[in-house]
Amino acid sequence: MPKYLLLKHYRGGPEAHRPVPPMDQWAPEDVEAHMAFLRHVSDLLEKNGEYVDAQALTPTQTWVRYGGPDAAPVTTDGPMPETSDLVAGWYMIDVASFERAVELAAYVSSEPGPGGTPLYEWIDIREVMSGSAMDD
Amino acid sequence: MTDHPEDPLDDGALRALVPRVLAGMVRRGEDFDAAEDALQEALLEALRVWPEHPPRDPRAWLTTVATRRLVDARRSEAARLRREDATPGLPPPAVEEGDDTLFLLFCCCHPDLAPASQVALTLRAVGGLTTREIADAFYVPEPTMAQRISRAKRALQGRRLDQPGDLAVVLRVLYLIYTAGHGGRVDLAGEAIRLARQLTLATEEPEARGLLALMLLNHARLPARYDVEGRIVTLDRQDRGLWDTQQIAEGVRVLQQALAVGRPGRHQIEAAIAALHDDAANAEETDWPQILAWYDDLVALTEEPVRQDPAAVLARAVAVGHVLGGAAGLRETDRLREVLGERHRWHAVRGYLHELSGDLDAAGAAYAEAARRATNVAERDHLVRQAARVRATAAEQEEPLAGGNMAGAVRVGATVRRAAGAWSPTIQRLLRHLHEEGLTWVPEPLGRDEQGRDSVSHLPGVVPQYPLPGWIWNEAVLLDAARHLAELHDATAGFDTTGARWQLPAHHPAEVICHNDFAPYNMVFTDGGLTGVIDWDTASPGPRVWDLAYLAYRLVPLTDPANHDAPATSLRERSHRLMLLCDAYAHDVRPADVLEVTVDRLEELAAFTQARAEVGHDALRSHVDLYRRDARWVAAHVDRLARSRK
Repeated sequence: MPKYLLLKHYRGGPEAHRPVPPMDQWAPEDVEAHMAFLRHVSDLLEKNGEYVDAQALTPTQTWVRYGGPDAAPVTTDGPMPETSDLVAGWYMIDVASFERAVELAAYVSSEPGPGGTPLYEWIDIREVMSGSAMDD
Repeated sequence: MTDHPEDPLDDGALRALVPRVLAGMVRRGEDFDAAEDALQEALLEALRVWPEHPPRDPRAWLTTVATRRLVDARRSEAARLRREDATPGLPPPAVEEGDDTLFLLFCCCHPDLAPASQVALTLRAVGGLTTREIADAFYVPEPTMAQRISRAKRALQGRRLDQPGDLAVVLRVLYLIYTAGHGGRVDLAGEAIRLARQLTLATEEPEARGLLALMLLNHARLPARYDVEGRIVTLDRQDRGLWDTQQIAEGVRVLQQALAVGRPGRHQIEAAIAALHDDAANAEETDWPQILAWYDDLVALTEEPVRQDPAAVLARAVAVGHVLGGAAGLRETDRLREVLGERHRWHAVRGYLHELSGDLDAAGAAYAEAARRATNVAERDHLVRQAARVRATAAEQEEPLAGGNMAGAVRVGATVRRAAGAWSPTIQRLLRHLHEEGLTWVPEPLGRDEQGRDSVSHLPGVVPQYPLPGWIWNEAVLLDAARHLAELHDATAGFDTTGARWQLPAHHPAEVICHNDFAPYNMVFTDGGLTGVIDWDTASPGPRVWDLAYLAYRLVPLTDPANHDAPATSLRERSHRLMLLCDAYAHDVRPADVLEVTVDRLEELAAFTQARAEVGHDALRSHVDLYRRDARWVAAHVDRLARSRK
């Protein structure tokens, strides 16, 4: 069974199908509906036996590289260009096929947004490489 | 001595024996690392053997078996074979149970170990948790935790462990364990309480009791702290019926014992604050003045609290907010900006204090910023909810709007409401028409609200008030206003006036729909640019120059220099600005036409205003004279103002 990451982004990716304001500006009942849906997705994946992991990341990003011998690491945590990708979190799933991963990603993307209608958020699907040479 | 639990395999009973056996072995001079490994093996053996052959004295049994394992391990090491006989197979010296725990805690919380290692080792060696359980509690893989524990044990090798350790470090480690432990698969909070209780048996130090009391008084509220969906419930909204009254009673008792010693420290003070919260039957009855007094004591423990104990200063700011008002609380947080300004909690507290002081817009912004900086999903979600909640509340609040001659308009969130009149349906239709014509700078018509009031969208930006700011007289504003007026008139030339009802009379010829009050105080500016025009209620059909004349009066300006509503600029400059206005408006309107209509326009305005003054709007009487004086001034200067370009 292949594993996939379903990545959610703070920014980046194709042009938004439906532009929405930040969630703190939604009606409280829409915020509740959205969060309840995300809890439901985790429950569903666990119940299906497809859940591996789910994590959320803070929006703070720091790039680091080796600074050279006897030098401190070089870091940059200034604001990145607004067009750069910024991952917000993921579901890792273990599913029967790529088609199933697409189906689940589309379901995640149907999460309710302002007004209770779907968000149509772009979800980034990435296959996780298998660690074993004898996997199949 | 009671080493005969009902069932020696009972998890709690067995785990309680671990520190005592281990401490005995280490005291006797055994290496901590080796002794701990040997004891773990003895425990496995116990699980295998005891169901069939329950020991008479479980503690002695474990000590003997562990010691034998230790000897076996040494035998297998050729290098140590010679020392074999030196290991006595004697029972451990009889010592007090409490002493053992304290001794072992000092070992595990050795100041040379990193906090993560102190925590892991304490849970393993004193708490008796398995490596797997500790790994689960901190969400790391088991091999990672095993490695962390064995490195910590190795770090203790060769150190003298027979000296009294630092109790403050032990207390800090126990509190770390407590705060790490909510909602995980392993009840670390409960474990920390168990360890703290053992510690209070071993030492009279009041701070140890203070810590135990603090844990109990906070833990008592745990059942109310999250709802069934796992959402955080803040203290003021918790169902106090869910609080564990037994734990509160024990916490208060332990705290009283500690305070009786007369050496209050930070844990005792924090426990006292927790007790005051627990003591209130509801949030409104919370004794904030007394809580603030305890916080005063807490921040007095450090010389420079802002640097040394910013968390205490921040928590105190909340109490200040409740006692002296949100604004006073916010001033307290200002001092922490440099130290805590990057942390989500600082923003969250400010959001709370802004809310307390009634500034919901600022509260929403602060909660949103706190959410952006949060590092815990439950807290992040909670802060997003707080932001959405106060923003929704703010949107329902009504705020009277300044400006315009017709009072009574209120802002409700993103809308503006005012009493409806017979003309309202026509104005709504006009605004809709303008939007359809692509004029995005007019308010969007929203019909009637539930109270029957007329509702339009609120245009965000700055609406200049008298005295007008200097930048209003920038040439760019004059040109922008003229172009917008032309756009309005062009878009209304085709407006269907069938069945229309207007508040003000139409003027002839009715070429377009005139705004009738197109002036700076009805304009909305964003970054100095004109982005909106408001107050459409008095619009009615009329000639283009009717509106242009009033705009010229207000913005050229065409007022008597003695009228202080506008600067007393020279005739030459006014003549120039009038020309610019006409050019920007286009449509071949000449300054002379504008001036002629301005006089008529002001005379009519004076008559209209006088009529209103006579039905009770007495304050308007002075305006009548102003308009008439301005009209006379324009009439007297038509020639010089209309002078065309050289």
